[in-house]
Amino acid sequence: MDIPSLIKKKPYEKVLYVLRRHPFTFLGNLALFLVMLIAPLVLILISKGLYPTLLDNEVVYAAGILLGSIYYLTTYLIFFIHFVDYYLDLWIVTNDRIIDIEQLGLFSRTISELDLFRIQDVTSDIKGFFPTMFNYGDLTIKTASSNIHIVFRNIADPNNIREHLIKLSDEDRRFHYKQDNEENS
Amino acid sequence: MTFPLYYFLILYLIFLVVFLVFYIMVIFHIHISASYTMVSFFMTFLVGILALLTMYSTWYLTRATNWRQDIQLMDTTNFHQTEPAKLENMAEPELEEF
Repeated sequence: MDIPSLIKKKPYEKVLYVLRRHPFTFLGNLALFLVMLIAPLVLILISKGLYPTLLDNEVVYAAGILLGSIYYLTTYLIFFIHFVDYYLDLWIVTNDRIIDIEQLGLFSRTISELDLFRIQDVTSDIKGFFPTMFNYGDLTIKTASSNIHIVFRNIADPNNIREHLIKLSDEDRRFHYKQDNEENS
Repeated sequence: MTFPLYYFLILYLIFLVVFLVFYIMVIFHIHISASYTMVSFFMTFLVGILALLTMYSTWYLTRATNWRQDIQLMDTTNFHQTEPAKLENMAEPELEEF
């Protein structure tokens, strides 16, 4: 499946931006994954020092190998699920609307849509040392209704995206205004 | 109470099936959310290769194991004893005369 099929792209619509979270935000998960990979090796070293003949027993050895294998496979799976949780958060901007797809774990996904001409306010937010150094942050889009707002979380270069969104929203508003005038006349 | 060592192997194989199901589910999620990019392909490939390496290492390290041997979970012979234990080769206690 590609992006146009996913968003059921209209004939006049063009996909302008496909935004994901900044890669730096996934580094924490990567570091935790590496620590979890190393942990059993440290445990084996310690147990060999304390109980040198523990693994000489065939039953203990076999059970230990199987347990270690289950631990590592579970670690890979958890890492993969965390990656999917990070990578499948998607914000698509077309010349007509914004689509917000948020993956929450493996079995939960939220999709929101917002027409560009309804946008009232766009706010970019870069907070912290690493976001400032690597230029990533949040972008909050609000409509006239206080219930509806979309947040682009930890996207790269939010200031640039904010300026473009305001331009796109103005253009779409003028297009709809012109269309309404033509229909009324 | 005893049971054969291959019971652990059966549990391990059940876990492998569960792992495979979740792995396929994650790939399915990547496909239906139009996120089939180089990054997701690399991650899928990396996790798959690591899993295969782990399974191969498990097989290699346990290839000489006798899976049919019994494991004794608990020695219950003492619990079934009805007669008091006889202390053999024990000298009679010497009684002191008061």
